[in-house]
Amino acid sequence: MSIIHVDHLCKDYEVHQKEPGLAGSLRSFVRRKYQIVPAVKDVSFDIAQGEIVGFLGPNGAGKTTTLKVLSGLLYPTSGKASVLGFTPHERKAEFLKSITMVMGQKQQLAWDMTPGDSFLVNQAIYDVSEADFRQRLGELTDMLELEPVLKKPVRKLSLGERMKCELAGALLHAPKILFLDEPTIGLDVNMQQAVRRFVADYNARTGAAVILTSHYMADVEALAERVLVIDGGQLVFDGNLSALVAERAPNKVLKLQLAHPVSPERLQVFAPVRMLEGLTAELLAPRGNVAEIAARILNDVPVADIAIEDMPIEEVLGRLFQRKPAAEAAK
Amino acid sequence: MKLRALGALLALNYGISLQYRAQSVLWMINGTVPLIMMLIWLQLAQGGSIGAYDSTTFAQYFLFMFLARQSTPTWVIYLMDRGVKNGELSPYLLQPVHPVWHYATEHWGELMCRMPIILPIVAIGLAIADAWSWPLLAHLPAFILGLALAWVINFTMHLTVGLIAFWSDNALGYDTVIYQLYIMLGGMVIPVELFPKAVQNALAWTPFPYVLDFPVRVMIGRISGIDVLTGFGIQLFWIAVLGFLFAWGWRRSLKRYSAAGA
Repeated sequence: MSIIHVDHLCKDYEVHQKEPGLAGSLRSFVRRKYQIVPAVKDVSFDIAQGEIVGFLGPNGAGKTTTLKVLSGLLYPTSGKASVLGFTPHERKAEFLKSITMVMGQKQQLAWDMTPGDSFLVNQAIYDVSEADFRQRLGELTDMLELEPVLKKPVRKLSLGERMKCELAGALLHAPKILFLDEPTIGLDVNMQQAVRRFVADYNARTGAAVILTSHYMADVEALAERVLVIDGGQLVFDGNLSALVAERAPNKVLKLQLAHPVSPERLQVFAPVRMLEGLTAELLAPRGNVAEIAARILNDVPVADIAIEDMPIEEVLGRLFQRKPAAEAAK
Repeated sequence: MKLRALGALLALNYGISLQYRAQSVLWMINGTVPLIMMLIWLQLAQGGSIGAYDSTTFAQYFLFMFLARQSTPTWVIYLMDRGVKNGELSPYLLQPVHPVWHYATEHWGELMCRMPIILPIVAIGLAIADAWSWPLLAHLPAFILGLALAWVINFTMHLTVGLIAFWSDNALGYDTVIYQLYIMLGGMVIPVELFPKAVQNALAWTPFPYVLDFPVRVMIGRISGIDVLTGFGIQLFWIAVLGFLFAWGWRRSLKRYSAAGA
C-alpha cells in the first residue's frame, strides 16, 4: 500500500541574478533581476510502507528539493504530494510526528549543549512517554554506540559522532518515514558502514519507509532495492538497481588477469579495451555475447583468471548524466 | 503547545544562555542607555522640576526604564533573517511546535540569565539615588503584568517585521529602524510625558509607549486607577493586531521559503 503519492510535482525557485563586480552590484541595487529556476519538473511516483528508496542524480538534479517538499519544508509550485494521507506543506502536528528528516549538512542538535539535552527536548516536543523514551534511547544508544558521547557538548563531537547522535535524536519519536538527505556525507568509511547497517536494521525492525539521497553509491547499493533517478528535475528512471544497470549499460565488464603481458591490439580483436595496466585488463563486451567472447579469449590469450561483472553503478550513472546535456544541446 | 514541551525548550535555552554568561553581561552593557539618560536628566533637574518630574521621579523613571529595557529586548529579526537565509529554520519547521516557541524560549532563557544581575543593579541604584519608597511596592504586580505584555508586543512586532526575511535578501536593516523608534518613542531618552502634547497624542496611536513608558509609569505611580486598566487594554489590542498580522503574514511567507543550504 502506497504511503507516499507524488503526482505531477513541480517546484520552481525564484533566484536573484547579479553580474559579478562593483558595476553588477550597483545595477542589482537599482534594479533587481530574478530568474525562475525549475528544480523539479512533473515528477510522479509512489512509495510503499517499508520500502527503502534511493534518490540518485547529479548535484542540482532536484533530489533534495523533492525530499523537502515531501517533508513539508517547501510548498510545491504545482502538482500534488501526499504523505501518510497528509498534505506535507500543511505541516499538521500528526504528520510531523510521523516523519523525520536527517540532513547531513544541517545540524538539528543544540550546538552548545549535550546530545542528551536535545533528546530531552525531542521527548517533550514529540510527546514521547518516559517509558518509551528510556526504551528507545537505550536501543539507539546500543545500536549506535552512543554511550561515550551523550554527555559531551555537541560542538566537541567528531562529525561521525554527531551524525550518529543526529540519527538517534531524529528517531526517538519512532517515525514511520525517514527522509535521509546525504546522511553519510563527510564520514569515514567505517562510519559510513555503521550508519548504513543501522538504517537497514531500523527499517527491518520497524518497517519504516526510508527515502535516501546520497552521493555515495555504496549507500544506495547497500540499502535501496529501488532507485529513483532524477536528472534536470525530471524522473528518468524508477526501478531496481540491477534493472537500471541492464537498461542503461549495454556492456558487461570482462576482467582479465593475464598470465603474460599482452598488447592492447591483441585484446582489441575481441572487444573494446577499457583498461590495460600490466597484467590486468578490462574489456567491454556486449551483454548478448559476453559468454562467447569470454570463451574465445580463454582459447587465444594467456589468461590466469577471468571475471564477468556489471558496469559499476557510478559509471552507469556518470554516463547517463553526461549524455543528457549533450542530447539537450543537440535539440 | 504543551507546557511540557515549553518547559523543555525553556530549560534548553536557559542552559545555552548559562554557557555564555560573558555574552549576557556584554549585551546588558548595550542596554544601559536609560542609566546614562538618568544622569543627564538628574543634572538638568538640579535647577528644579521639569514638567511633573523632579530628580526623584527622574531617578525612579530611568531606573525602572533600565529594568524595562533589559526585560523586553528582542533579537528575533536577526534569528529569522539567519534562519531564512541559511536554512536554519528547517529543523524547527520539521518539529510539531511552531518555530515561534523556539525563538520565544531563547529570549526567556536569556532573561532568566540576566535578571539576577539586573535586579540588584536597580535596587542599588534606587538606594543610592534615595528614590525608593515602600508605597511603590503596591504597583509591582501591575508593573510585572505590564512588562509581560510589553514583551509580547515588542516580540510580536519584531516577529512581524522579521517576515521581511522571506521576501527580501536582508531583514536586518529593519531591526535598526524599529530599534531607533523603540528608543526614541518608548521613553528611553525622554519620558513620554515630557514630549509636547501633540506628539504625545500622536504617539498614543503607536505601540511604542506601551512597550517601555507605560509599565514604567505604572510602577512609579504616574498612571493609576482606571488608566492602568485602559493601558492594559491597549496593550492587549496591540498584541491582537500584531499577532493577527504575524499569523496572516507567516502563512504567506512560508510559501516563499526555499530551505536553503542542505
